[in-house]
Amino acid sequence: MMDEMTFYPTHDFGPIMKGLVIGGLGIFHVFLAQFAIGGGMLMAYFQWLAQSGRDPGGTLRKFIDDYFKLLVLVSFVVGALTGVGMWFTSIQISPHTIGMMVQEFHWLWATEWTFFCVEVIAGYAFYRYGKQLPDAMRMRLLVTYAIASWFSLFWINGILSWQLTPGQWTETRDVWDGFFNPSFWPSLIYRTIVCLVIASLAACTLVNAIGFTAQQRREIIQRASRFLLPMIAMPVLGVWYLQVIPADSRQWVMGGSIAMTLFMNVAAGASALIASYAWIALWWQRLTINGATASMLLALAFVASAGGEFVREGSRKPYTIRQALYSNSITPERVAHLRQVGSITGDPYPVLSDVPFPTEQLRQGAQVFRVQCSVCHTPAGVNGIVHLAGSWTADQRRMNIAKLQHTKPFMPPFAGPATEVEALVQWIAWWNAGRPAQWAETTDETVLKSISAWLDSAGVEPGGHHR
Amino acid sequence: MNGIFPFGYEPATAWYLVLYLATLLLHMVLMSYVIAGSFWLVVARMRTWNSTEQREAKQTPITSVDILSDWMPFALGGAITAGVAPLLFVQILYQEQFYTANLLLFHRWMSILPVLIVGFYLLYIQKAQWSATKKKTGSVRRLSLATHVLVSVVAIACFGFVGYSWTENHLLGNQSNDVWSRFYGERRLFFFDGQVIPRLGIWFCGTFPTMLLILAGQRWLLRARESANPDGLTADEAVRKNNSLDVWQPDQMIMSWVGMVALAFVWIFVVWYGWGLTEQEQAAVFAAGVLPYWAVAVLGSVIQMGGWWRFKDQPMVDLRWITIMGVGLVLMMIGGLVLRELLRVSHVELEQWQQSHQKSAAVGGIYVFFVFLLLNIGVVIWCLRGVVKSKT
Repeated sequence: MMDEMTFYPTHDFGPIMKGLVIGGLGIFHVFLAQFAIGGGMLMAYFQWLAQSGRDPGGTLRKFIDDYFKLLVLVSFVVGALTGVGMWFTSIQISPHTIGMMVQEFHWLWATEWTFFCVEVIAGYAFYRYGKQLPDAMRMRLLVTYAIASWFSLFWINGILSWQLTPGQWTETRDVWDGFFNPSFWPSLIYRTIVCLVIASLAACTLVNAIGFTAQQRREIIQRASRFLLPMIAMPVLGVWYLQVIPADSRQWVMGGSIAMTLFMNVAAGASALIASYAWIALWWQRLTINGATASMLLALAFVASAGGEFVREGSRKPYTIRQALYSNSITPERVAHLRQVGSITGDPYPVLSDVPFPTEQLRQGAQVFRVQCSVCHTPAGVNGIVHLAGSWTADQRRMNIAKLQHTKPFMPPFAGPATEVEALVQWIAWWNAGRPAQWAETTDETVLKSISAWLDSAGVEPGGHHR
Repeated sequence: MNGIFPFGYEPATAWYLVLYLATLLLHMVLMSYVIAGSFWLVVARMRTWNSTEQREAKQTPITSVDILSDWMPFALGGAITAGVAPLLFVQILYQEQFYTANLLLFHRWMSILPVLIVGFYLLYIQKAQWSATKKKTGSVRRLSLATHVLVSVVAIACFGFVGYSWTENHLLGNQSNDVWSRFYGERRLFFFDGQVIPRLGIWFCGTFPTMLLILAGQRWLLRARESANPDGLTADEAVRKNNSLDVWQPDQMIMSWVGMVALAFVWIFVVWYGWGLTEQEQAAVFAAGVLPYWAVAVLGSVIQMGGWWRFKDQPMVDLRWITIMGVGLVLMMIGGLVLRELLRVSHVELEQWQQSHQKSAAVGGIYVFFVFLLLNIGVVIWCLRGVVKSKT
């Protein structure tokens, strides 16, 4: 007998799609976190240069102290709190997903926390006492900070990459099979390079804002820009990553889904521009870079990160955890059961509406939307279901929803009986008609039989190539 | 629960509860420093409103206000970092309750994050502003001081909102499905019941003895450093050093009295809170197996009271008593945290609750966690020792 489904009270974000909320915050957090990680490595490198006699004027030491101040003031505050914000936002958007992630990986997440503590303590110690410390001690703190911050990436990368490519974990349920999953290594190395890039571009921007001479700025920029050179490995890592992700996900980012393809190309294009500038202008031609150009490159890096994160999030569809949990928090095993008992059976939370429902069927339709659709769709805002299905006839809506996983392969199978399909269809039609005060309830048995037949023919398995 | 906490529970549940409470204790210590410290700063600065330049020159260069201002941002960063671990374990222990409360409070709950960001930056501003204020005189100084106090007051409001929200979240998570349904249906964003005020009272008053003990430790360290290098002092510094204990004595008296009064109020709020407990909650916190934790909490309070009383007429607390009072503080917190947790557990369906923990405990990675925990504690000690040695 199947356990009862846990229902949570869900909210909408007005016209904004929930994925945008979590994506928006995620991009911001990831960018700052990667800045913090790369910054540690860059500063450790600069410190090594300084203490090995390559900084006679003390330029690098001064720069390290100023850069670290920025790192602490920005990343330790906003970066850390947006990290907590990711947890809270994930709870708001998909409590089942974050619940499963915490369940499976809490010991590794706790391990990450220990490294986070080291990072914060070493970082603050350097920020506070760095100027008074001898070189060896400065190096100790910077290296400790760099290693600890990189390890926090190591642990979280395993957990996040597991969502798309759980690998052997699907059969074994072993934490290490899930952690060291197929996309773990390409994404870890790729992200490490991204950390170096962001840190380097931040350094190039910052150096123009501090009172260094032109010669000093040139020196720092030349050295910082070395951290851009590993970008040359990104195409190889990108290809490796594409090879290991599921075939359907790969298909979407390579043309199957225009939105995903666009984000992918934006990320790749922005990265290519930065890499070209780094290799040609900064390394080969030894040019320097002013604040405006550096800021623009940093903004491009942000755009590249944003594109990449959207692709990573979007390419998971129809799952949030591959083969374990669909985006709407329904497990694949539960679909057949919900086709019998209904997806809204046992949902204790009333349906909220600013407009009263003329019929009970419409209220049920709204509830079905909330449980099965609202995680990715709004009624009539971004990715609005009314826009997507508004021009369809009633029968098209019935069939397309009943066979959802074949309508669009990145959609999960509809997890409810024919009555719920019909309720959702009526609710879409009602919205499309401007939510009038009067609406007829549909009780045609022939219609329900057709829907049942479509549901049966679609089956409960996902559509597309799912492995 | 049968037996003494946590032994009355299944091993997996007991384990998670211990980890949760241990990490929460660490968070509470740092959080107390920030909350009580922010209040202390506002009051202490307002007391310097009429200070003359001449009077200030005679004072030791470093006061309690200087220490608190300086360390506040780090303490908040530490509190947030330390808070991540209990946040993780609470999701294992009370997943449905915690997530539901989060969801019900919606964007009001989410707003604690931008509020914390604002509060965090305000602490940095107050640190910089305080340094600037000390160098000013006359009406310019007063304006700077007023700005400084305003910044601190807004920071307190930020942290107060966060503390209130966490209390609300906790209490809302303890409610039944019916209450949750109704809360959601009514589109409420605030949950208020009779337990909010005494709970907040216990938390708030409890932050003061914690902060004051840490401050006492910081003052001791400062004094120890000053005494360690007498030859390095100029004549002015030597005079200030000789005067510093005299200057510190009134501060110590205020600290001691505030510590004692705050401890007394903690227990007043505990009694108030106890008055409003349901039968089920009363049974949970007054069971035989729980009495040792009451004893521990009381003992811890008595030890601290004794320490503050002893040192109310001294310029500072000595190291031995800082340690003794520290033990007392930890005992009081352990007792308080266990009792708090038992109240929460009294609202869950025990068997089902413990089964979910057994499932969680079956997941791998625990040995890796403990290995890296010990390793990273070692790394932190290695770094901090290196810093201390390098500075001396």
